[in-house]
Amino acid sequence: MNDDDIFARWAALARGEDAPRTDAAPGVLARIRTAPAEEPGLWTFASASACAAAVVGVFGWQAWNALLGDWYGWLQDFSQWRPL
Amino acid sequence: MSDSAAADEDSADAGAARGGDGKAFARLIRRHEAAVAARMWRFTRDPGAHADLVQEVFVAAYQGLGGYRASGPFAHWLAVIAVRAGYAYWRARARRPDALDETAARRLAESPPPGTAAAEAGELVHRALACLPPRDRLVLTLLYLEGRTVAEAAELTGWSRVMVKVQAWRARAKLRKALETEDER
Repeated sequence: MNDDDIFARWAALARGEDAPRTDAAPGVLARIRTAPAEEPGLWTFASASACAAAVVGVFGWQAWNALLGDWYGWLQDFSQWRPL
Repeated sequence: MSDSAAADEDSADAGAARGGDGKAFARLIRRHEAAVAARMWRFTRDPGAHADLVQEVFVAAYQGLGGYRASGPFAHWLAVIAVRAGYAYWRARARRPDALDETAARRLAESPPPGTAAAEAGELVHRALACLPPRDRLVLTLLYLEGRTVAEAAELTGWSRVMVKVQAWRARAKLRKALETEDER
């Protein structure tokens, strides 16, 4: 018998172990009430808007256009790339 | 209660909970808490941390209810969340994996003697797996401790089946080495 078989025997025995009892419901419901379900779409939109506003505010519209232009140009280059 | 009746109840309660019904979510917790508690006990042996982890799983489930599709069993959906929460817990506290002590290594080198208690075996297996990095520990926990197949482990972790097999192979080699190293002392 190899080590894996022996370890598997210990693990199979351990599978029958009882876990401590918990009472999660009161704590979970309290946490849910204080922290409502997240809205990932809203957060993403808010973060992206704040980021765009910061770039425009600090560097001006030209910087924002240049940033988008660079990204678009890079995307085009990438899509048209062929191995030599 | 039959499986389909339980699935219908889960589905109805998940729908109601999504609409903000706390009582419906409490019913879901009560139906699935024992299974989640059993699973999370494989991620920590600290009773306080265990209770927190169980709560963590249900809070994450509540926050992700929008992504639950009633076409699959709620228990399976919840199992994926639980495995990810447990893995995140290990990763957050994985500075250095624990070392396996000599006594535990010596005991694990022999088959469990007749009459060994499940709790004792659980403690030893937990200590042995704790000497591995989180990814290795996760794959062996699922395959050995939960008795999952490669396909099931792949679904629970979100890894491919090939990745599970490769990870398990590496993890077994590391575990063997850890047990041998301790054995040779």
